[in-house]
Amino acid sequence: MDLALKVHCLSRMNCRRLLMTSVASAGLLLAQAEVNVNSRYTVERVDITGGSRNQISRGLREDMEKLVGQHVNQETLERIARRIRSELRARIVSHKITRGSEPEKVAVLFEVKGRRATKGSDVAVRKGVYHARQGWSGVLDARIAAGDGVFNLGILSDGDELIERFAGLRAGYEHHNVGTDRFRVGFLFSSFHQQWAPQTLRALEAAPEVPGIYRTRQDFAPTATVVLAEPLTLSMGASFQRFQVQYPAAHTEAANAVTSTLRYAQRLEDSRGDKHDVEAGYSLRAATRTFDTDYVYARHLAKAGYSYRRNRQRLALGFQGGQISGRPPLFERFALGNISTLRGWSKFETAPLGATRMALGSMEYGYRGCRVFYDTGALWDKGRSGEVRHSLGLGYGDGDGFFMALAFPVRSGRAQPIFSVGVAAF
Amino acid sequence: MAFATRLITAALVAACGAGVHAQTLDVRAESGRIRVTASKPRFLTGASLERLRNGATVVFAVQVTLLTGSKGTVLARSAGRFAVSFDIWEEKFAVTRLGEGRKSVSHVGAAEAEAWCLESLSVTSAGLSADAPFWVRLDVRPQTDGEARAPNEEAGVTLARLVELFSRPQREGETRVQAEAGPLRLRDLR
Repeated sequence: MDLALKVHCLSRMNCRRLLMTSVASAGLLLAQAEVNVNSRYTVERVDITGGSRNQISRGLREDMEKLVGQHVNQETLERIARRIRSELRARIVSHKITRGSEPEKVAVLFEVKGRRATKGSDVAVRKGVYHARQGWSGVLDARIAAGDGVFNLGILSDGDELIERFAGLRAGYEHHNVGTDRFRVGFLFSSFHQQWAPQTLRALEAAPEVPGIYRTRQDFAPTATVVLAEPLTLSMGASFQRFQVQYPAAHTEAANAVTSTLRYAQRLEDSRGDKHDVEAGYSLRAATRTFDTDYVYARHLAKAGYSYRRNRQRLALGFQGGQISGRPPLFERFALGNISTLRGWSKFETAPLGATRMALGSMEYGYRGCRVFYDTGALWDKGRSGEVRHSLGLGYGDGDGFFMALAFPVRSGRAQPIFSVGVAAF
Repeated sequence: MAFATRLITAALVAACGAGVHAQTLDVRAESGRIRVTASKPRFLTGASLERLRNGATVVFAVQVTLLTGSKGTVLARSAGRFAVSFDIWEEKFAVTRLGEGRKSVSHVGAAEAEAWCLESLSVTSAGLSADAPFWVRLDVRPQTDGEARAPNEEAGVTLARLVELFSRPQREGETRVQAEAGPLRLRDLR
């Protein structure tokens, strides 16, 4: 046998050996993949009994929804059953596979049994942020769960959300199951002391039509929430606010309003596994003479958001629009220019007294944790025109609430960036 | 028949406690090995069967032991773990023996599935004299979620681990199948 023929034969033998090894490996992997004979069937739907999807976390709900269209996987089902058991504090969560509506399809049912009364407590920083113009803001909440109810107690000092800095306590209770887990009731009592920025005080002197500042504010807000059709919820309630106005003489005023909020949040996943998050909400606060109020107004706020996530990339779009009719107190007026709206601007520059009309749009692109964003928005009062402002920025966010951003206002002249950092749920 | 086989049905030891299913056992000897056979479903019953019919995989640890007496010394032992599942659409069982030399069977009834498990657990009769009395014991224990969390996990299937499993006391609510036959003699089985 000449050398060329030997090499050819050796190559063929090696190729054959390699092929046989590959086939054997593939077979071994296949054999180890799943020992359950039902793993060849496709899940057509997933249900839960003895508990509600509303009571489990969004992440777990999503993981349950992801099962649809997949082949049955015993380990995944057991893992999800364990998570349901943990979240619903149930004694047993078993899963049952039944025939689907057509051959080769099956339905998965998680059966929740022996739910224990919820006990336990946790203390968490809901918000802890630093904004270069506004300083620090923090919210520390303690939750104590008992049965189907949860008591909340929080201390806070927030100079970010409104045009006032409000600091104080809030306490509340929420009962998650009133006959059905689709209906819950609760209340929140808050008591705050206010601090005002010099810009706001100066602007007030030039705007006599805007109600004055106050030193303290208390709010009692009972609410009832009903799940209309998952994921659509409606909350209705009232807000009884009393605040101590300082000028012209110290006295107490009230702003009592009925409140309602309609909320929708849904995550969809397309055939490629890309995620689409859709969120929308509308809230109304209407203060009428019926409630013995010193202020009569109706505050409407609409929000919409959409985000698209593909692998490590994320594109998010957001819109907010608001309008207040009547004469609202300062805490109801809209403000833009903080850690989440019109980033790059200070709210004391955009409108130190806030405004009764607001429009805001934002666009954000992220790759892994890095983000670039663009915000645009305007504030104005009825009969006046508002200046449309823009800002650009970049930052980092880990998806669990931590963020860091450097935002630039888009304007002629010197643009001083605003740095913000912290932990917050937007 | 090519090999001498004689089935012996023996009475069983008393149940060790609640949840222990004491049953009869069929034993035969062939080609230097002693095998246990099942004429009717023994462990694919009750709660395990219900779990299977709900689409779950149930892993059974099965052990066949050759003893010098009912409470005597162990002469030989064979053990294995079997992952059993029930086809929701075809209403047939599938069994996979876990561990080295993995084998499986599918589209079988309950009795056939059990027989297949027992068939693969023969013990050697070498060193056993034809007239010496001996006992055969069958232990079947469905593994709990914790013990059988990963039925695909091959590394965990060792004889030592199975012996440890069968040696530990029975837990509350655990269903364990135990059957014993004896005294038997090789001469009678041929």
